[in-house]
Amino acid sequence: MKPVIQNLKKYDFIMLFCALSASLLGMLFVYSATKSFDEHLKYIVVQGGAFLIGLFGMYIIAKIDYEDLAGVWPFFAGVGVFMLVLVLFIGTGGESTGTKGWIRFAGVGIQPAELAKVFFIITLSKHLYHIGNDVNYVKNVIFLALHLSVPVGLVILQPDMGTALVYIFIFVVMVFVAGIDIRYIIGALTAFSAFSVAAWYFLLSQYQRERFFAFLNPEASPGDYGYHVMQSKIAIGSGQIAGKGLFQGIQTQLGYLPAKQTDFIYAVIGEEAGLVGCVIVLILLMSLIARSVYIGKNARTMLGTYLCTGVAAMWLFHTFENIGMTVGLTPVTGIPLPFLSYGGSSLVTNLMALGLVLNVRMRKRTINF
Amino acid sequence: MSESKTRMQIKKRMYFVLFCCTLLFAALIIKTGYLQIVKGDELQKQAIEQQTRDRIINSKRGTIFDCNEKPLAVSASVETVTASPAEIKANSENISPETLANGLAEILALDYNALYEKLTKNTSYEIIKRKIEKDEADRVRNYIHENKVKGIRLDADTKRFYPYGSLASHVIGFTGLDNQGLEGIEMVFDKYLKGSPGRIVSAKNAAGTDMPFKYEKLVDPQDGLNVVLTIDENIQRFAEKHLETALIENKLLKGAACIVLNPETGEILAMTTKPDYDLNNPFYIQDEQIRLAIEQLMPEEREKKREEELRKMWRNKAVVDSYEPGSTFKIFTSAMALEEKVVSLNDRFFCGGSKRVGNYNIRCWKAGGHGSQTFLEGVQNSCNPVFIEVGARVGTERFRHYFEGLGFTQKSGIELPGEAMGIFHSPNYFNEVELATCSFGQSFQITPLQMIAGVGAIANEGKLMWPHLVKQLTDSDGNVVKEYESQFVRQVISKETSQQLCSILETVVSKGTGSGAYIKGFRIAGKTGTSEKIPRGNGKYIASFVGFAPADDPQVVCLVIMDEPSAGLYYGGQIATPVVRNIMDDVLNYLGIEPAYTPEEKETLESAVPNVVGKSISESKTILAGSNLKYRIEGAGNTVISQMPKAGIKVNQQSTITLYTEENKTVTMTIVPNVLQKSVVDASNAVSKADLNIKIVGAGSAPSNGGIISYRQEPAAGESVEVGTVVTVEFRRVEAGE
Repeated sequence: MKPVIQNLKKYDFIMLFCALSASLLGMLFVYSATKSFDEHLKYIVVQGGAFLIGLFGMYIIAKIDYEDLAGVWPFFAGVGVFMLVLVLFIGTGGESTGTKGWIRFAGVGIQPAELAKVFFIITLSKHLYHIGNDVNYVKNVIFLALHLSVPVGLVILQPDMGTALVYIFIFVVMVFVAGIDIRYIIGALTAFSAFSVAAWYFLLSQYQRERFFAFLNPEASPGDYGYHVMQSKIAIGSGQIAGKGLFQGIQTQLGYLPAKQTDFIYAVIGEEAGLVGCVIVLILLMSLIARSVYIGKNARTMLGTYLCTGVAAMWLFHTFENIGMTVGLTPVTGIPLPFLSYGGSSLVTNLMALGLVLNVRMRKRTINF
Repeated sequence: MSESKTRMQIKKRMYFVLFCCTLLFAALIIKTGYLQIVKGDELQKQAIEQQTRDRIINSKRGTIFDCNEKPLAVSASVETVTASPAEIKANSENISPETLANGLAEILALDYNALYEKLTKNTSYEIIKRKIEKDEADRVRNYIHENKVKGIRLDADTKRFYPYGSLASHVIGFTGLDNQGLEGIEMVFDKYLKGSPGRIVSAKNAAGTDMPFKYEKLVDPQDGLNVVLTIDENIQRFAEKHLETALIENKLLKGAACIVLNPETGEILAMTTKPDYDLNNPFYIQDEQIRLAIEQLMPEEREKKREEELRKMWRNKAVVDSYEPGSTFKIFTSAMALEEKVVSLNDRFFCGGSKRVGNYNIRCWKAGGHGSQTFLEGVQNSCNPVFIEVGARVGTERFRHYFEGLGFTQKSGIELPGEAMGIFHSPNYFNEVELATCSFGQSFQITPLQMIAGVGAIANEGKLMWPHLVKQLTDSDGNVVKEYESQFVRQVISKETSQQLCSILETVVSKGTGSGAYIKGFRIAGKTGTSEKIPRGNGKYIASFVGFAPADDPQVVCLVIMDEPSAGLYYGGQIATPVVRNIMDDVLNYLGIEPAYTPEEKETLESAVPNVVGKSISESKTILAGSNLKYRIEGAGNTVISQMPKAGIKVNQQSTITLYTEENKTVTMTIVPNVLQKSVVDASNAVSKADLNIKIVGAGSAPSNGGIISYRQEPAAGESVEVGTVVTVEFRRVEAGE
């Protein structure tokens, strides 16, 4: 018992507090959101189970020195690629994304693309650490691009554009922090713009284009897409400052909100807990992200810096995209809100990512006299 | 690059990442706050709109009572069938919309296609059929029960019902589909009558299904208040009966109006316009010819014409239409002159048939003129030159002062929609000639309501009262919520002038043009009027008479306006006086006003035939003599076995009673002679000659009866009746007389 407590003391209290609070709040609102469903207890059991598994994963990851952890990068790369390839063959439909991103066996389903994010952060960190100051060598840039293309390519094949964007965002932030020349970024942006224009005309289906327009103006869009965003805005707006109270949200309880326990959990919080609840959630998530960046800044080695940056980038993208879509700032994608959305893989992934940051924190630079 | 320099650069970039991160979070907080604070109320409203279903429970509309609490307009409970298409869709496994539409179409006698369309609409509330009666509703209920139907409901509703049909239709008005008042009192008192509707608010889920047990709120409907009118259903009925008869007899092309007023309080006891309409079916045009004419029109014109005709039919002539009052207005010219003491009863005037005013020669209605006469005779004769002179003595200033004082330039403020105000000369254009024409009631217009209110003031010691129709508002338990007191508007003339005028106007009826309104025992005062409609010379007239009684203590004022008579006679003294007479006769008897006979009247009084059956002949003779009756004996017996007329029947004194003294003696029959178009004396003689008794009604009973001719008789000529039967003969003035 004593070592455990001693071990706990080394954990970063702010990170742990914010992550645990967010997870518990998430479970509470998942419970509220699924209250009207048959077998609604199932959801809380799954989420609770994932929480425990995630805590265990966090503990393990935090325990092993991150230098050693990154040392077994071939293992992470191998398992990640194996899962992402496997899901292309035996994957089934997910609950909210509608794509084949799930591997199911023995009644348990996991989303490889979620878990693989942590593996990707580890391998990319190791990659950048290995390159060191030579990040702007063309050869290195090409290798880094190739490193990214593997998971992104596999995720797009599912197809899951939203998750692919997460990988790209993590990559961009990490490489940026690693000191990539601004010219590469400008070049990439130009290429991306050109690609977007081309994609708009040649790659996107009419449905996807409509979805984009619907994002711009949900009120005028008659389809499901505009309807969902409208319902989400109505839920959040009608919560006003104090909210309608737990289990009292009519949008939530009478089925107006789509994917309310997963992608639109923020709308549930908005309706039932009002602005107060929303601000609490945003503060918790913002604290997690800012703290990660801070810990990364003070890391013992650059490897720790990269790991923390990657985790912060992941959470930032998820948070901004998810909340943004519920309030009508960003297009709708099936990306969950970290720690709060229902979904075992997501929660486990985020707790493991937390483990990485805690790991770096425990082994921060110390000044020895 | 040194290690530390790289570190520095990395730190900078991390701060940049942190900065971007802060911006993004700020965007999220701002947008969330914007939705919840700035747009909060609007989105909250949207939320409630989509989350709840609101069903209205109509409140019970208040009853309209007459002054004796007889219900004139009541609300009966009916039901309205509504549907929730979303629920029907959800329940389509149980019963398909097709089957349901079929079943309901049959029960409710609706078109299948239209109904099917409603039941399958993408909405959550549709009205299927409004206001169905209980048996129909029961059949729907059974159908719902038997077929496990969901999403069809029966909501309590009310329907307006008018127990007396067309009675006082122009006063009461009617309601529309949503029970909203559209005309008359129903419209003006709508806000009191309607109450406030209740509602059932229930939550519905995203699929549109009701969640009744979870979130339901009931707001009870508040019943409307009852309106108690000053109208007396009995008096209203008398007025309508006699006006209806007059409408037909005189072939009034533009209808007729009548108001009965209590001058002391301003309460309107009856108000009617003829022809009228059925309140239970107000959108049905009563005139068959108009109906047929509309049928002939092109569809686009048809609706327009129909609406126009309906508006005409609903038009309350007594309040909405103004008219030239003609000679009835001489009452007011007299009042002004007497009040200002510019004339006395015995002042002498001369009428040569016309009078020159300015550049105009204004004629009297009587060609050749009335010659020399006193002011009193001038009123009785309704002589125009007399009033031109009297008007001139009053002068334009004072004339206008009294005209305004009598309320003719303002709306009376009666509780009816669309009251007209009348038209009068503006001060700059009111000179000698205008004054002359106004003095005998021409060249301006007032409404019948203004007219009767003005006469009411003359009859009520010079006090003008607010004419009103509503007495009080009561709640459903009968408690008085609001009382509309009588309102004194202003003193128009002095009490003395008022009394003087009452006796002058009484002589108009007893000796002058108003004799057709004479009723024995009741001192009727009044004034006739006839005005030719503009353009003059087209032979279109408005005949009117305004009368009140008893002259020494007026209780009732009655005005009758007859628009465009086309059956020959058109003078107010000829055709309007009998109508007022008949109405007054009924009303005064109904009000229990005791007749007071003059000595002359007593002589010609009717008496009830005493019972002499079973009495001896000599006994009978004494009894009959005591009642001023003659007798005639049939048979040779000593005891009276039967008599004719029977006991209790009222006959004129000196009538002959036939006494039968033998059993099996056949009854002597006689043929009723034609006594129409005869003077009182001729008619009496003809009736006596046929061994019948006469009963004289109408103008014939007035003391002066020159120019009076019978125009109605009962039984009709040629009928075979028993000897001694009473023949009722009605007389009227045929001598021209305004």
